[in-house]
Amino acid sequence: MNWPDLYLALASGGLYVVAIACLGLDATFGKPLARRLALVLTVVGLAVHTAALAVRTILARDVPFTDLFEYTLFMSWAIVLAYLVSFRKRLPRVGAIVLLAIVFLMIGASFFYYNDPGGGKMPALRSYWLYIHVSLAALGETFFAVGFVGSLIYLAKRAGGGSADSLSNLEDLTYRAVSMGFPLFTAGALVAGAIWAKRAWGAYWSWDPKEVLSLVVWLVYAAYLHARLVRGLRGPAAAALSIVGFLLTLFTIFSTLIFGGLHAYG
Amino acid sequence: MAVLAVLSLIGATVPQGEAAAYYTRSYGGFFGGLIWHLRLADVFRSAYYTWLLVLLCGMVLACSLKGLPARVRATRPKQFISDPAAILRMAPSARVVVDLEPEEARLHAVDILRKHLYAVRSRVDGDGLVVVASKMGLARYGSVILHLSFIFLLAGGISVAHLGSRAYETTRVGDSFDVVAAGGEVVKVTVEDFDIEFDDRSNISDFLCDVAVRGRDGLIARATVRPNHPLKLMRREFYLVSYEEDPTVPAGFMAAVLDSAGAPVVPHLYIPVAEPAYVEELAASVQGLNGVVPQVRVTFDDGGVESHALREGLQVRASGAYAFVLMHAVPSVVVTLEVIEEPGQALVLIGLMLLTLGGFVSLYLSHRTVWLVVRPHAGGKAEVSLGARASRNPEGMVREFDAMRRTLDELA
Repeated sequence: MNWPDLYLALASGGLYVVAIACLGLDATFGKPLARRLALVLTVVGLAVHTAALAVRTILARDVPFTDLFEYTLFMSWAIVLAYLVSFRKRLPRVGAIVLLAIVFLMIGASFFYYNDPGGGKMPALRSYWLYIHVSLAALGETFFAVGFVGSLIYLAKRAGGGSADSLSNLEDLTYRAVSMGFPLFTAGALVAGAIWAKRAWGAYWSWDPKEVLSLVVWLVYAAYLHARLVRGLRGPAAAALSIVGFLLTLFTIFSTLIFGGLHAYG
Repeated sequence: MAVLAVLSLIGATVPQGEAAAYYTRSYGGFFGGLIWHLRLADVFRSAYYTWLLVLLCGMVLACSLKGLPARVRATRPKQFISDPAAILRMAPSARVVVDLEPEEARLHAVDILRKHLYAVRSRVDGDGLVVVASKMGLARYGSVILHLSFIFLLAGGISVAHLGSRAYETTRVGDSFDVVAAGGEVVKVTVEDFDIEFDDRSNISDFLCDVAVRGRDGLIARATVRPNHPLKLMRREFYLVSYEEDPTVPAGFMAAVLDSAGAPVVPHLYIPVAEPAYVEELAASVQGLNGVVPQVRVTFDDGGVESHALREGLQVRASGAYAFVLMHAVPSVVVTLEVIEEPGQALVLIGLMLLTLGGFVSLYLSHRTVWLVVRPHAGGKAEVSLGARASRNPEGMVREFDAMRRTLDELA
């Protein structure tokens, strides 16, 4: 079997698992060397992950987010990139472990719906709106993943009596991630999606399961931002909203496997 | 919104538009009956869902109408906060006691804020002086733009739903159907041709049909319609939705031309029913004739003509040098076009653009606000409680706040 893209993706997943183990060692036994090794492994994992996407792009002769396998591979790659570039210094070790675990699970899940890259894409997908709609939606969801981890760790630390500073840092991290992801998700999933739907299917909105679920995700994050900006909502309620938002996001991504619908190819 | 979200989830998870028996079979007697009687089998078209949407739209509209004029008028829309405890709960926040009268302390604080380019408003509130200062820039227009986007989307959605129309026309290639265009004129739409394109890996890359639109005075337009490329004409849009082969009516026949050794010279020779193919250089012509039993006629160099009933695998040797092998009949194609009239789509488009713009302006452009309460303190001094919030770059806000507080501390 000749699936170099899949093998590279799984290799990157393996590297992330070893990075998680190193971070766990550091968290348990306080080994700074293990922490540095985890960083190196994450960077190498990202390089291999990038190679997987590049190989997929070459084999498919198209951008690597036209089906569910490619989408999860691309989004997990973007999560690692966002972590290394923007959030590494602010996310505590345990947060990094959870984030990399999510990435690993996404790569692992992608294995089950691997598609032949030479299969081509259906005519309805042959539009430049594909690049705008899917890439922006994936990037928005990437930041939601970071916000989810920030909220999860916030709730855990709060239950364990974490310091006010660390809690405030996690709240701000979540808010920052969501406020970066929300406009991207709005522009990509809803706006570009609606405009493309009009061109391809003749209607901005068709009550397709994935459309509806994306709207619900948008409403949850809109409620989070509205409550925080207008009412100053903070604390566990805000964290819970962010967590619910990302769980719904994951459900939305994989919903086509259950419900089919107009987005059944993606 | 919560009820709408729950109903939307139900509508997305429970298959919609099935018969009552399906729900009883899939979910059992009790839940199946519940789904059917609560109209959860058709959530998005139910009256209660529509009314909830109308209610939500009304609320958004009311909020917009109530809040917009103030938003548009106000250059500094932030509200005063006169409770020092609320200010001290912000991050960052501080309490400073300065050796000045409260009014003097306020003037100094305002001066510091203005040096940091804040727009400042003050007022007397009980025994204290309250100040709100904001550095909003363009970000203050974010909520205005978002409110406008909701109004446009709402108006567009209502227009599309109530003034628009959509119809599906299934037509065989070569046939026509009538459409009532703008102004009541009836135009005839003819599907002239259909084609499927393949990439170099033999995957279907596109399918398309040629459409001619004719009015009373003749041809109005001729265009190729394909997925993502509808024809827009006379306030109507024509979308190619799907195609289907109809094997009962052949559109033509596929043949191959072989040389005397049996090697293919022309591996795929399409012979349309309507347009006979003619292969002059092979010194013979092949003609498909439409009818109940399709015939192929081969004309030889010596003027001889042979007719054969068409059947798969039929082989006719022409001039001894070439052979025609008729491989199979090519079925005719039936295409489905969707004809749409949507008068509100420009409003929806503007609403979508404003929604994007409003989101980016609100969340990506930085805005900072500082609140102060100055109260008299023992010994003729003033107690200044100050707190701040920033939409972005909280570290930058903390640095700026610390700098302002240090300047204020120097007065202490």
